[in-house]
Amino acid sequence: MTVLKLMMAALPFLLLTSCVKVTQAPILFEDSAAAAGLNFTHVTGATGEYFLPEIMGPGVALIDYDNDGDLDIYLIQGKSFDGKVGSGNRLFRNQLKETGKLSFVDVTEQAGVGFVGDGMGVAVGDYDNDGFADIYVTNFGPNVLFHNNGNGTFTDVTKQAGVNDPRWSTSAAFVDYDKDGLLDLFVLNYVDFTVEGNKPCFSTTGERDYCTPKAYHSVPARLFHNQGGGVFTDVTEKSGISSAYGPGLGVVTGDFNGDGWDDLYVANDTAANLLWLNQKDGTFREEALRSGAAYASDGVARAGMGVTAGDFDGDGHDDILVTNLTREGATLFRGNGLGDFDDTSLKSGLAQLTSRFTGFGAKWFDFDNDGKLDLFIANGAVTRMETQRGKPRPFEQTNQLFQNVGGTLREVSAAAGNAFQVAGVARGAAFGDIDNDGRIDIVVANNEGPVRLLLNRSAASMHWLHVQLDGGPLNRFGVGAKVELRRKGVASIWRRVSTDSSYLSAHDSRVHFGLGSQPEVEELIVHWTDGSKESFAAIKPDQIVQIRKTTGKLTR
Amino acid sequence: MSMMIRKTWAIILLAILTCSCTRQKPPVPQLNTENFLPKVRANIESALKAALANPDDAATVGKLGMLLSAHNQMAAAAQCFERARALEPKSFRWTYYLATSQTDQEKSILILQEGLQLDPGYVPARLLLADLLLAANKLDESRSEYKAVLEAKPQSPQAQYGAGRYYSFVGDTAKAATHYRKAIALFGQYGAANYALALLLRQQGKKAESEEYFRFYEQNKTTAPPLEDPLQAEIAELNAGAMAHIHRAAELEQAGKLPEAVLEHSRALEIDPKLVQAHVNLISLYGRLGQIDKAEQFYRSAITLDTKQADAYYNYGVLLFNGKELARAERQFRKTLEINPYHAQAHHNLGFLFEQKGDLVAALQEYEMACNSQAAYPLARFHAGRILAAQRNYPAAIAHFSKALQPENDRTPSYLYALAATYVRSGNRIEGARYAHLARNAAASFGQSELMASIDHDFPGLEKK
Repeated sequence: MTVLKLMMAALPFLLLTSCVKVTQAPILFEDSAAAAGLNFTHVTGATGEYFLPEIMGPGVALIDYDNDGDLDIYLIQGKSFDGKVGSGNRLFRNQLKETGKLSFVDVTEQAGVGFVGDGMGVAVGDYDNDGFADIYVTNFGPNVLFHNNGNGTFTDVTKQAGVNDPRWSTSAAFVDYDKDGLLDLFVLNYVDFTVEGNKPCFSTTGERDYCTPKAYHSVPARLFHNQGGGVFTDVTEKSGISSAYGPGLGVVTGDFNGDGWDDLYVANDTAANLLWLNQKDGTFREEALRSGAAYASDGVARAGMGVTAGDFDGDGHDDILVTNLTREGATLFRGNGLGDFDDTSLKSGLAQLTSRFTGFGAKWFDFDNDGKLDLFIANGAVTRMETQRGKPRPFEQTNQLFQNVGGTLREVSAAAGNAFQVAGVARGAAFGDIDNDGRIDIVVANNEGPVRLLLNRSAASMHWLHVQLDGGPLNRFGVGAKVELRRKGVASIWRRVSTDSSYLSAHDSRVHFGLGSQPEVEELIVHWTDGSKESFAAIKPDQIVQIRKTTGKLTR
Repeated sequence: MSMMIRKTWAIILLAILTCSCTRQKPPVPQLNTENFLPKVRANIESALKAALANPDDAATVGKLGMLLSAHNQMAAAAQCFERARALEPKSFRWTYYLATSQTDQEKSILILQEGLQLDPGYVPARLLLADLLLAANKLDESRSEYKAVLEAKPQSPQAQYGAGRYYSFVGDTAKAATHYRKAIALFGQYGAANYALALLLRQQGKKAESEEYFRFYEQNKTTAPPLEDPLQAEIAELNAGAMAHIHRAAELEQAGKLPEAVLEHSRALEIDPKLVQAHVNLISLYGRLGQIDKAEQFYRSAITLDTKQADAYYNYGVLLFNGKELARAERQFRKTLEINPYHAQAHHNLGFLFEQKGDLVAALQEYEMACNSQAAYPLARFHAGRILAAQRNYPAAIAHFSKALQPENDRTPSYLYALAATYVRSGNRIEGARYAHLARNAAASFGQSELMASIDHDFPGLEKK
């Protein structure tokens, strides 16, 4: 065959491949912030001094603070260092239950949570087991613990609780690491930046730019043990947590070695990530290097920002995803449930798909209700982007959505609606079913930009189930408990109760199961953190159920 | 279909996709250099002017691309290289540069494959192609590329490491380990290869051996074998930014080449006389070289440029401390902490000054603040432990000495010895003897004969264990 003939033969093949399409259910996320009255714009008050904290926030929390059955939204605000700009954090109450329509009203003033500071992130947990979720706010500067009074108001109890950290704190997590039924608090710190000691940093062309964390020294995290009675004790030293640290940005809790005790995983920016394995005696041992989860497979530390853990491949074990800087790509550590991880970023194709972006907030979540965990990543650069020279904010990127198709992640951002075409400087991202329609929605907090409320309009025909746990007098929201959903002929789906992960953000504490087109649930088993189990059979799909520990009752 | 026919198809398809059509010539890029450093701007504008005047001269346009690439302006650089390649299609140089300036890995692969037809022997390009193919899950093609490099250059540690990664990808751990071992044999400090082998051995349950390679990795981390890439070296040389000199200076300083590091800083200051970081670093460098007048001169210039540079005060404090001007040194460390209350070294040095004055309470407080600011600070832990041991607060002293053992360094044997002695003083002779034994072994491994003699004197009989 001549070369010409071969070329002619090749043409139909090329035409065919260019026409192939994959049939799938429509994927759609709609930015409904303005329509729902969620009017909030983050400000940094940047004055051109390139203070590093300006580019790092903010976070966002989904919290049903009034226990009315719908998720409210708490947004973290920045502040200029001269104090001239910055109106404080805002709490928006969801009026879905009372009006039947998704709409938000700003209740910050009456709730008393409008803290004005150099806000970074937020964690949510019911630390006093009174049945009302409390709020911990991290700042560049002193942090704040707001106790939920149960009547729509909060009280700043930071001092009496003993949970302040005056340094630059970032992500935080409530976790019952000693199984005493009281939520403890783990707070990450970043670097020892001070306004007075701000260092001038430059791009390679000599333009003023934000520094990397390497310009400063990293600062250890802090672990507060909940003593009960609303008081915490700083056990950072005693627990061993201070023995290793880096510039911490993201934290996720989980039982990574399958011993039944919650561990901590920390994403560090430009330093080794940390895996704190719970020693069951109030101490932790750092095992990231030997577990394979400290670095990507080349042994080079990445700029870890956000982190999420979940069983994306359906093997029953948590897999950890860490978002990183442009050109690095996200790192996907596949877990074996025994505390060992394998970097599969390249093999999964994810490193390549994410390498053009700087990722922050991220979470495994089942957006299409097919029972498999998908992935969302909030993106936005931290240093000037060459292609955006001349823009006042040359850091804007689009966010990404990945669909899990048979254990493989496929990027579907282009098909997911206009919300994924809008560029911004995204940081925190919180996940939960905000309109209670059985589909997980996303709130994206943008740096120096408006908040985005991405309502999930995908997969309307698929079945689902939300499970809300009530641990009774101890560990009220069942944080750390695992819920196993069994169906005939398919592998169990496991989900864990938590509000941590992503970046600077807190999520819906209800666990969500996508059931696909198969609505029958054979059995639902709750594995409580104290080792006890409760089982429930013949559960109807497409509803939110509540399970109160030891009552054997499942209510709608 | 035979392998031969498939290869022919692949080449033809590649030709259709990349070569057969007339190549588009993108215009010379528009550049806004307004905020660039003057020297960088002058260089780029001069090259831009030349390229605009001679838009059909590949060398001139390519030179602009090289300059832009040197300053990390990769999108504009890629535009220049694409034009240069269209003007001079037989040039490997422009093709290679175009491939390395892409953000899309698939495009890089196609361009590199084309480039390697022009110069099949350019090893860095072939290695990059193999790495990219592996990242794109094109495993067979990746293996072929690594194999080609190993046939031409069997002594390439990078190719051995790459081949190891390939076999690891496909699950052949035995072959992967063999290649990693070869890479390490060729370049012992190869951080990535040591890490990969350690992880592999751990997976195979060979814990003791994996620990050994984890240790090698921790000693070397990002150290990689040098890769001769004259084309990229030409680009690196064009970086006229002051920070490029600062980075080179940091590498020289790490290698103990202090005069050379000073020279690089001077070059940085020629480009940007107001670069505070250079002034701050020169305080320390001249101080260590014993050129006190010069160090003082840079201290003054640093705080004139920026009164809030904590490290300027700290570096000058160290200089004064070494010159036995303790009162002045103390003021500098205090000033450092006013700006940065978490400056661990300043806390430590202040603690040492208080201890010299006999104020042990203040000294201990500073050492502990140093440990709070930087937990892995063995020297501060050791000093805090000493004071606590002297105060007979043995549990607290033991806690500090225990934490001084990581990260390991040549002082670790002394810390082990202090821990042993403190255990004995606290009445725990068994732990004391155990740590004395460890201290003796550690001292032996570092060749510290004096310390060994002290241990043997204080703990007779240990050497016989």
